[in-house]
Amino acid sequence: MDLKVEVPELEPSSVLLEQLAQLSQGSVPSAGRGGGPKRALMAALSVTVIAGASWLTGTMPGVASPFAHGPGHGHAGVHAPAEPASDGASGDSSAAPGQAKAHHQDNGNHTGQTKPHSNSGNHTGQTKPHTHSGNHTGQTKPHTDTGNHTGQTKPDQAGGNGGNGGGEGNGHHT
Amino acid sequence: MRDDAVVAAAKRGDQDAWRALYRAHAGRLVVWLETRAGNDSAVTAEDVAAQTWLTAAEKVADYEGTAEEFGGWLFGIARRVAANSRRRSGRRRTEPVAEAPSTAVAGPDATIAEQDWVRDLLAGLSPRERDVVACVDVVGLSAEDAAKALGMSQVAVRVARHRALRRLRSDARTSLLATSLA
Repeated sequence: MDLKVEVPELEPSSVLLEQLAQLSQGSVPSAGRGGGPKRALMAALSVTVIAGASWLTGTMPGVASPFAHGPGHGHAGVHAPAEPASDGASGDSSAAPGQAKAHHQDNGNHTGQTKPHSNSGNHTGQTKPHTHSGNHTGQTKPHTDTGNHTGQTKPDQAGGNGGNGGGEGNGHHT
Repeated sequence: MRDDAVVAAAKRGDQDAWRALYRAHAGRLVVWLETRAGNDSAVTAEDVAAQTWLTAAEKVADYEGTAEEFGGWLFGIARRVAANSRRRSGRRRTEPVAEAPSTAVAGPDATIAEQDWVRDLLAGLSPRERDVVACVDVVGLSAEDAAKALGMSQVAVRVARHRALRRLRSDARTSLLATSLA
């Protein structure tokens, strides 16, 4: 099927030719030509550099993460002794308000304690086994002590002489 | 791709070069635009063609190639100019007036009857197929230039052309059969 049309040869007018010549003289290559791929490449490079730097920072040894707790972050000054008691087992009668070191021995009252230690004070919310002779609240693991307990859930062997809140270890458990 | 002498001279603003380009492509540009003319009588194919030439002169610094391949680039500009014109027509909501001539008037250079026949023939095709057939088979652009003009791949151009020609042959057989039966 032949669809070819005999195309007429058109002649431009002198006015049109003049316009075409003038416009073409002022024609400049558009700045955006070929810029799309370049821009995409630059964006990809930037993302790669930022992601790489972030990854390196996260894996580099010696750089502390704000989410990791070091061994020295046990108590952060949450000591609030109910009263200046004297524990019977240890014989130490001094409380330790605001004491902040882990793995220490004290005999004060503790709130929110999370690390094992040995002391002879009163505790609230204690979670790890330890040995001491103070009064406890919310104790969950078996241990051996001689103090008074509140909220105890597992059997233990308490001598009853560890000292209660008033400093007298009489072996009463609640 | 490097410019040939005509394109390089046209970029410098040489009128003879523009005359050569115009003679080579203006006629088939108008014919092609007429095959895809919209229903807005306020904008003719000649209007779109004139705007296309001015736009091409403004942007000729972006073109690289030969005078022969200039057609594909020029038709691409024409396609965008026509699309913009159609959008403007849609906003303007032109209504045809009663005094306007209902049929085209033959000019000294135009082969109006032939073009009308082709336009009627292509009317049964989809716009995409009509564009491809008009570019390649009616005004004689190469498949590569047609692809450039229509913003399609060469494969898509060949596929659309194949389907369009098959449909045209089928329609022609049907009409021939109907004529012989009548």
